[in-house]
Amino acid sequence: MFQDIALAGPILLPALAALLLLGVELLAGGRRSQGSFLLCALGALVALLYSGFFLAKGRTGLAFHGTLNVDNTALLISVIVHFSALLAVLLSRSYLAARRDVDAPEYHSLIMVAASGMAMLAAANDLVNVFLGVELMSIPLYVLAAIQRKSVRSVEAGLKYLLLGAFASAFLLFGMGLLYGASGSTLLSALPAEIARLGTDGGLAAFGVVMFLIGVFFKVAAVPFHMWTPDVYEGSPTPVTAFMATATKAAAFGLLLRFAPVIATGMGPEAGSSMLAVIAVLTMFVGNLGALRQQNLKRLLAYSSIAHAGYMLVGVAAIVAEDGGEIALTGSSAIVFYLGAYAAMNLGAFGVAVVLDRGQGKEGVNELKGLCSERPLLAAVMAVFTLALAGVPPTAGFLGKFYVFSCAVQARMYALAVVAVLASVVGLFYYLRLILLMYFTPREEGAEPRMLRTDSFLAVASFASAVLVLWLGVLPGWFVGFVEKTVGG
Amino acid sequence: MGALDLNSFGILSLITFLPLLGALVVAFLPRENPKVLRAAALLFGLANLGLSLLIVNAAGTMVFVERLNWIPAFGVCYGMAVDGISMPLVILSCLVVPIIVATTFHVGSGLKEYLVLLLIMETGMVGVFCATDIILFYVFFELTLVPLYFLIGMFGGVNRIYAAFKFFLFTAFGSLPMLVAILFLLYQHHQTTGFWSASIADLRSLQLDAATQNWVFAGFALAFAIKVPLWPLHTWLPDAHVQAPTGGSIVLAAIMLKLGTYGFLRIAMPLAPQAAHTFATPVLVLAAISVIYGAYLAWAQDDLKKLVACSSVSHMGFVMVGLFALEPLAVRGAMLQMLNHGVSTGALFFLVGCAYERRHKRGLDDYGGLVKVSPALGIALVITSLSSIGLPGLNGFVGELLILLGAFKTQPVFAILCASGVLLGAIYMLQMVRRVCYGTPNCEEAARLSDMSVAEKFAFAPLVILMFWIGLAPGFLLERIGPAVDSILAALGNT
Repeated sequence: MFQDIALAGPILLPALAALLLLGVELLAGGRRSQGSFLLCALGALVALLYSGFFLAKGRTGLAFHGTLNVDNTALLISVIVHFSALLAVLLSRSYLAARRDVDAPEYHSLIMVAASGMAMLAAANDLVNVFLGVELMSIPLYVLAAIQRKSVRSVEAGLKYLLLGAFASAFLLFGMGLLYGASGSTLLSALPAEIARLGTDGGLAAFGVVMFLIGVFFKVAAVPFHMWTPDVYEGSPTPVTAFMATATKAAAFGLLLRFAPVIATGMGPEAGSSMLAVIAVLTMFVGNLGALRQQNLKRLLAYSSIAHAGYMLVGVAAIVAEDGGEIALTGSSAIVFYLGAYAAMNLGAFGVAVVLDRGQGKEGVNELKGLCSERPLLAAVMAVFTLALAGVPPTAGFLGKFYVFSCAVQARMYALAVVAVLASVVGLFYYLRLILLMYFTPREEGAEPRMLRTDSFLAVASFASAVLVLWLGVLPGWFVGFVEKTVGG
Repeated sequence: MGALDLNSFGILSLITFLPLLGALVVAFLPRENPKVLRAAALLFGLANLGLSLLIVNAAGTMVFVERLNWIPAFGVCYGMAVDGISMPLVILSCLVVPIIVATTFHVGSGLKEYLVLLLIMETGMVGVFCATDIILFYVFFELTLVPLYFLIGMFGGVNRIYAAFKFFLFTAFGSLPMLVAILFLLYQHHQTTGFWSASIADLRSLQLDAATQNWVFAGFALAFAIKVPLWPLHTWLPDAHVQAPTGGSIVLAAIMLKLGTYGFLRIAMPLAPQAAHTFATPVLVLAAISVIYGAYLAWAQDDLKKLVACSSVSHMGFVMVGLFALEPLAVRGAMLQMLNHGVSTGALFFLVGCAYERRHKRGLDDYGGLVKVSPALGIALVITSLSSIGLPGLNGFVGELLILLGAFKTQPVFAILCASGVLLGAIYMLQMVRRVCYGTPNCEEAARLSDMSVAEKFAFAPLVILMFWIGLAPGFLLERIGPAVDSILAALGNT
């Protein structure tokens, strides 16, 4: 029992922090307090270190009768999730301080609950736990999206997310029911064998897989289930958007990696990978083309996050195509690497968005104009994130793409690799536009000087992300090796 | 190998990353004092040039080999080495940077950024010529793109944003199919040998069938043809050149375009030898069109910078003809001509920049009588134009002669077409010289241009020396280029 609880640490620690936070806020009488910020950051940091420690020590295993599989992939994803949570909390401080319309003491507590759900999703090995994880992750996010109660956009975002999210959950549950019907088991790891043992069943398992995937696609914002993304990302408070874009994606892709063998048996490797490939292509192009004309930085990053989900789906398609081959290992590590790199560069970019916002909701891309002369360091850091998102070497973004696309090549999906590369070219247009605004376009004549302030927490977060993005890009050997070793082991 | 054993201390890494250190140093110097900034950049540039001269004896085989694991999971190494092909290009890269520092006197408030970008650029340029690992090559190849994009976009002319954007997109569009080709090769190597390797030498030993080779070659060729640039992919070049600041134009002409031809010689041809033969004729057709079309374009220009930019298209087409004649003499000539073009066209952009700073106009008819008005600038322009035309005794002649001699053996038709390009080159260059350097000044301002400053003279002198030295004693370079070229051609299946 103790062993089980210890393994569930990445899930339980943030939950504990959430409870403590609620208690603290009760004592503080609903006033804003520094205490809850620090406690929340500490909670995320402890969860991060805990997951990292277990990962380094190789303490993995099944917990709670096999319903949780805390393997290395799950721990790595927990690390990414808690890292995102920590950075999002660091970004939140100046964001919340600058605006008066968020009077919600439970803000920090909700972030921790969501992080707990995400860690659970990454480790879930049972359909019931999957559902628990999904809901534990989503419900706090619905609230967080709408937490600026007096802002119409924020409430709209929350409502939209809630309604569509409820739909997605229904699909997910439907899929689970069908899969249970087709296999008689709720254990994810047992599903493929059971489905195969019970033989053909008129497409029951295939139908179940598709329904299940619709639910997951909604969470990762894959086309055609991406419609909510731009509105929700735009309306939510920026640090919440950053958290949503990175950690949700990590958790959902963790689930997808665990679910890949079920796709391969339920639909057949051919059909499953073709479907994933089509979705991946659509997602990459819709995301990149949609981002081209955006004037709002958060919306632009929303479309960009759709595109990045597409790149990662390329890796999933490759894994499903060669079910059980060597590629399951390289593919999983590629996606996990991508998730880590993406988390660092995206959180950094949102951090810069928080600085530009300065409590007045200034989210237009034009706010980037002349940033180079006003805040050279901030502009340089943003340039690093932008180039990383665009996939230009020597940044982590390039290596992530290199890694994922090489999986497509290994699975002999050459056309998919070429299309993915073309989609990245489209992406260059809008990423370069951001740089162009920062460096090549001065601000309008007579524009008032802006008070762009960064508090030290935000500065630390952005700087750490930038270092990580460059470090993973220039010296990726240890990390790639580590991911390969752990994901494989 | 020289008398010193330099293998042990990573001279190539030093040459590659010293400029990056310089960029960091410059970035932390106070922006208020341009003299200090310029002096620091110049110091790093000259130190690096001095270091680069230590590799001057590289010839037939890869020397100064460095090899470290980089991404072991994919067999990707940090591998550096030089031979007779990369050595001159490395030195040219190191030479160009201090020269450009001398053109920065007109750069105003952004001088610090300018110098930082320039030094980062040097790291990319040197790295790309030293890399023996294909991923490392790719990384440096892309790394050169980013600083130049910023240089053009931040310091360029009126249309700089459009030009920078076009430049980045064209080249990035080309390099991504290359990435797929690289991924494919890595995977093939893994399939056939069972282990991952990204070393170019290892990948060369792959025995791919003809159809596969064609695809691989096509992937690389697109990237390199855009960089060269080969007609009809050249349209980004005039825009980029005209809008770029003088330093950007010099780097672009002297080094960046060579990445294309170097890539063909070092990567595309050896990795897909059969496809190099298959594709020879189509590439030659495009190259011949580039030679002639580029020359006509140059002839039609009234803008000095555009004229030089279009002449680049023509000259680089000439280099491509030399490469794809697949004949030892022609390839030697192509290699030499790459350097010649770097020196001559770099020098032309330098002089056009000098003239522009004084006159603030670039039209051919905005000058006149330059030789009388400012003798040093005028005479320098005359010499450089003659070197670009290929006057015997100057550098251009040797390269063009070798290319034509070689090409006549294997591809007589294309050789004849190219020879007409030489003729056209003489026409547009000489009419430029006539209108700009001779006659009488066209207006008051043109008659009162100041002459080259001491700094400019010092910066320009090495280029003139190189023009005469390569022209009169090409043996030194050819001795080193020759064996390296032969070893590549041997792998292509003809000697």
